[in-house]
Amino acid sequence: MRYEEKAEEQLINELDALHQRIAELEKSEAERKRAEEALRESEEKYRTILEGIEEGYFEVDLAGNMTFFNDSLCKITGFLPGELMGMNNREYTTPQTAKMMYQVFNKIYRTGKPERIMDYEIITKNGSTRVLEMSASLMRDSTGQPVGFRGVVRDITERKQAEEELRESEERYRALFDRTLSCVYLHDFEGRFIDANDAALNLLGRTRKEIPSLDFYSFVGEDQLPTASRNLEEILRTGLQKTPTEFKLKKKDGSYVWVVTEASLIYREGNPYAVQGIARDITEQKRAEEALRKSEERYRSLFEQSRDAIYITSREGNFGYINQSFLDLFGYTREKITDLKVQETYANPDDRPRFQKEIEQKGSVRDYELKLRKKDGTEMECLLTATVRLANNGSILGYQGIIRDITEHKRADEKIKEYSKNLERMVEVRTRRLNHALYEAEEARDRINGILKSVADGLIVTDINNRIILLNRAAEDLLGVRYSEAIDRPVDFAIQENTLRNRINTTLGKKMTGYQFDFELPGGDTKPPRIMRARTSVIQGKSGEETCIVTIMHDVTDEREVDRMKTEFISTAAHELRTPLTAIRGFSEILLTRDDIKGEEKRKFLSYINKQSVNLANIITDLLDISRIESTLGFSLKKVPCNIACIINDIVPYFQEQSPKHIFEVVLPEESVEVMVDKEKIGQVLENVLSNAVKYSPEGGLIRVTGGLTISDLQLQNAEQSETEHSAHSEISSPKSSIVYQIFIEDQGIGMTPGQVKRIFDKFYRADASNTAVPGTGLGMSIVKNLVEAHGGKVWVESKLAKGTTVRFMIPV
Amino acid sequence: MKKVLIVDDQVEVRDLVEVTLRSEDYQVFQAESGEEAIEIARTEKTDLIIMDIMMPGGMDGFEATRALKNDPETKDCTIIILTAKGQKADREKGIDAGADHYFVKPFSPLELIKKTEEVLGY
Repeated sequence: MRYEEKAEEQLINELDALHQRIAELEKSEAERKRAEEALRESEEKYRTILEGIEEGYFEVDLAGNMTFFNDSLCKITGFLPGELMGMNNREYTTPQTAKMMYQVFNKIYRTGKPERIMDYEIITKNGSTRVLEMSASLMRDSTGQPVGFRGVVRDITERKQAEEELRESEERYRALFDRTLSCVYLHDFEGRFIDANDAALNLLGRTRKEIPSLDFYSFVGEDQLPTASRNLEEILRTGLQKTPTEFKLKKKDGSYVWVVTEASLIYREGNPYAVQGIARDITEQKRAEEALRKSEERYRSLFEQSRDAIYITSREGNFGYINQSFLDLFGYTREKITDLKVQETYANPDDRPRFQKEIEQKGSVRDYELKLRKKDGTEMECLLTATVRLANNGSILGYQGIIRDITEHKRADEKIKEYSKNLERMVEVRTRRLNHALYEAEEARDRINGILKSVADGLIVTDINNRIILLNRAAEDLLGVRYSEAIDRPVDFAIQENTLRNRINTTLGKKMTGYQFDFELPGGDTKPPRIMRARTSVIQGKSGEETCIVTIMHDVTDEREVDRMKTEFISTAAHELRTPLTAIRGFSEILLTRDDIKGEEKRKFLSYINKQSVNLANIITDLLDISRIESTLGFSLKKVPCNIACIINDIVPYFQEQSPKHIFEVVLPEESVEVMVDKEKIGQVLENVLSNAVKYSPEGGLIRVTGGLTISDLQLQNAEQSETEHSAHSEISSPKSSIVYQIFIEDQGIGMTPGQVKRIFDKFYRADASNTAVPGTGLGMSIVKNLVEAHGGKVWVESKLAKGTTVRFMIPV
Repeated sequence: MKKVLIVDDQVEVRDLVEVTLRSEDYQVFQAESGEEAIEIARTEKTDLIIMDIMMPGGMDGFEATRALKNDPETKDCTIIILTAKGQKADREKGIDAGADHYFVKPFSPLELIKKTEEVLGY
């Protein structure tokens, strides 16, 4: 184009020069003719040139009216030469173009310099628009006065159109590049990136700014760099990459994406310029593939490593696929199995059609029992779980399933059944024994409970938290609290008595066995105070742990009283022994040391000694008696049929002899009565009572002994032996009445107060202990009571102070 | 001649003491009870009383001793208790009542003589 421009300018300049010469010629007449000729030739020549060029040439006057033009201009504008001549610019341009042209021409006129109008539109005769390019300059006359303008125009409509199309195409491409969802990128032959679209940048987590710094190494793993280079080489060699390639690309954040890429060479002005690639994100697909692969692997390994035998067979009985367990189970090698028919693995070949019928009917079987055979002929009890394999058209191809060998299972099962049967039997026996033991234990417990409850001693059982587990009846009575109220309550609740409560709390705290203490239970309106002895023991469980504490409360009131009386007795006995001993020792010493004691006096002293030694002997006898009765050892009645009257008759004269100043009277029935008694013991009873009568009645006093049978309605105690006799008599007398032998011993002595009478049978009790002149141990009446009761009898004492005493006793007959 | 009173409810004991102390040096009186003893002690102004404890009646030997020792008329009289009650408590009770000496039955007549002589200054 530059070339063309140049030519055009040159042309214009030449034309100027030509015109100058014409003017010169006109000036010079002389030369005119020659010059005219030359001009004509020249004009001819230029006209030919003007008509020969493609560009339009025009000359306009200063008003812009067409004064001269060539054919090309006619062609460009579409007007005929006749129409074009004298036409103003405005008539074939748009108003904008006309305005613009006016300004340009104005400028040319003012400056005198040529101007160019690059693109302007004209309207051709047929109304279409053409784009033109113009160079214009000022036209002067020979005097140099501007006369008009001349210019050359070229039609550039086609070129403009091509340019527009190219631009549009480029825009379309750019839009495609930028907006496509695929990743598109451009890199040079070294792998350095030139451009990439948003999709590509997003995929790699990069920004547009980073593009210049990116190359293959930025995101292709080292293991895939060779592949990338190979692809690049191929593209350079052949212009494109034949097969899409998968790449694992590293994102900016370090994570990976999988892409598949395709690339080709792109050219600029006919030369290879860069590589353009398109990548598609296949990460999800890859992941799915990986998952599938893993899952397949898992199933495969499950299949291969399953301890159950798994198989796929054809309907005809060929083995398709089988796992190692199958081979192991049947004892075949993998090679051998291909020649094997399924039927050969059946213990009973007839079973196969049955199996096929069932599975084909149902589509599958579960735990189908089948007897199969190993290679070595061993038969197995098996369970098959299998399904039918179907072809696409629904026809049956074969079967697939799992075989489980339950031979051992079955054997074990039978064993287990046997065992469990045995076990059941054993359990039954054990249960029976246990029930029995339980029953016995319950019975024993009930018995023990019964015993505990009926024990005369108070019994408190507390647990380790000092709560009451058991109170027996005696404890209930002693403490005045009911077991039903006290159970599970703290021991404090049950025990009102302070000493006991404190002591029990202390003891329970110490968890001591064998701790013992005494306390007094205060008496109530009707009850006298009682002295109790409590003793605790800790009960230990099998493993030695403390389970409960048993506190036993024993009523020692009587024992204490006995103790007290014993102490008193010892002192009394000592006194009683000392009294006769005083005389014995004193008088014997006097007689031994003094010669002046003689005759009557000596006799008197000796008789004192003698009398007191007899007294001493009696005291000793009494002591022995009471201790024997007390201990009950060596005290047994030697009952023989006796005439009690005889015993009385034997004893009374003896007393009469001893105490001649008392008057004895015996009243006995005529007939003799024999009673089963211990003669000696009854004699002792009479002696004791009579000696009291003598001791406590004045000289000359009457002592009367009366004996005989009578009927008593009193229930006599301790009458085991006479019990049968009672029942024998019960037919003739009332059940409560019985025949007894009754003896009265009456005196007219000093008598006793009611208080003294009350205590008459107490051991060691003496109505007047201070009266040492009357010998005695206080045991006589105690012995009497014991002996009478030992015979099943009963004894009473009635007395009036200063009037006398009557002792009455009965012995059952 | 010193006056000695024997108080005991047992005649054997009274006789024994009397024969024990029978000599020209002593005049011996007998009493069967505490009351009787106090009466004799007052009237006879006895020098020595040999006193039993356990005696019938309202007054025992301890009470009689106390009464005698509290009575200005009889308080100078020496009292020897002669009793079968041999326990320590009894002895203390006797000394407490005012007795000068305490003899436990059965006693040795020779020792009683010795003690009597010692008390009465022979």
